Amino acid sequence: MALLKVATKEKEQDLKKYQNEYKVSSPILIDENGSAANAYGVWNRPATFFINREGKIVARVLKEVDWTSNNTKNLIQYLLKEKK
Amino acid sequence: MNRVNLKGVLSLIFILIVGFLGTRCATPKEGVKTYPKDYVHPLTEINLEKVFAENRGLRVLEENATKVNDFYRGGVQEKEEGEILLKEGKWEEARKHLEKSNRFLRVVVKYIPEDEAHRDIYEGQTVIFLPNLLMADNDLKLVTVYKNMKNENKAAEVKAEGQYYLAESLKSVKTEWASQIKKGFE
Repeated sequence: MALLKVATKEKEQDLKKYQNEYKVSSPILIDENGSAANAYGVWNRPATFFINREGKIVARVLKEVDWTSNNTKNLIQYLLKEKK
Repeated sequence: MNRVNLKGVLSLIFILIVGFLGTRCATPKEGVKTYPKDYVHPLTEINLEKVFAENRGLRVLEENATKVNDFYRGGVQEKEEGEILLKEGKWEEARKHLEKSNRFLRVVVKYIPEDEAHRDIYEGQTVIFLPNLLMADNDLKLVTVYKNMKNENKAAEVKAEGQYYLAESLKSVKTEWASQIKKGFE
């Protein structure tokens, strides 16, 4: 499983501050002009897309969720069970 | 990253999670520009090509559309397809896409009935949001389609519908594009 975090139209120094403040260890990609958000049809944030090994979006969450909750753990586990 | 490379990366992993971050790290944005009530947005600012560009990318399938923005995006994508076929003179195929575009957009106006030149979707990020005007434009093109298909009754029907949606659009936003559509219906 790989996780890509994308920040749309944000400044690098603000992202660094955010990474330090919330102890975010994963890299954050900067979507400078919003083109990635446009391509994904993102109209509200946060928005999370789950893409399978065929490159298909298999699920999306368009709100803030607790990623440590049982529901989201179950969702990720279910998606990971997908055969090769 | 091109498609081939992406496929290579994806074959190494089970699932890729792409998360667009929320407001926690947000840089304060400039407010959305406001316009006087009677301001006419010029074609250089609001036009079909810009609407298409904002809605390209992931294709919306009718069965997967659940949010208003999915329906708007689907409506625009079907319209773009229909416009290409129209230019090629493929009337029946163009008709199908333009009608499908209108089906998507009718859902949009059920929930958000007003057009907006620049709709603020989050923290100063705006999109051109003109579902009524897009339907009027679709109907104007459908008039041509039905006339070429020798179906005068349907041509008259879509003309009336288009004029209705044009009037709805003009209630909330004035654009040079709408004036062009109005002339087209005359």
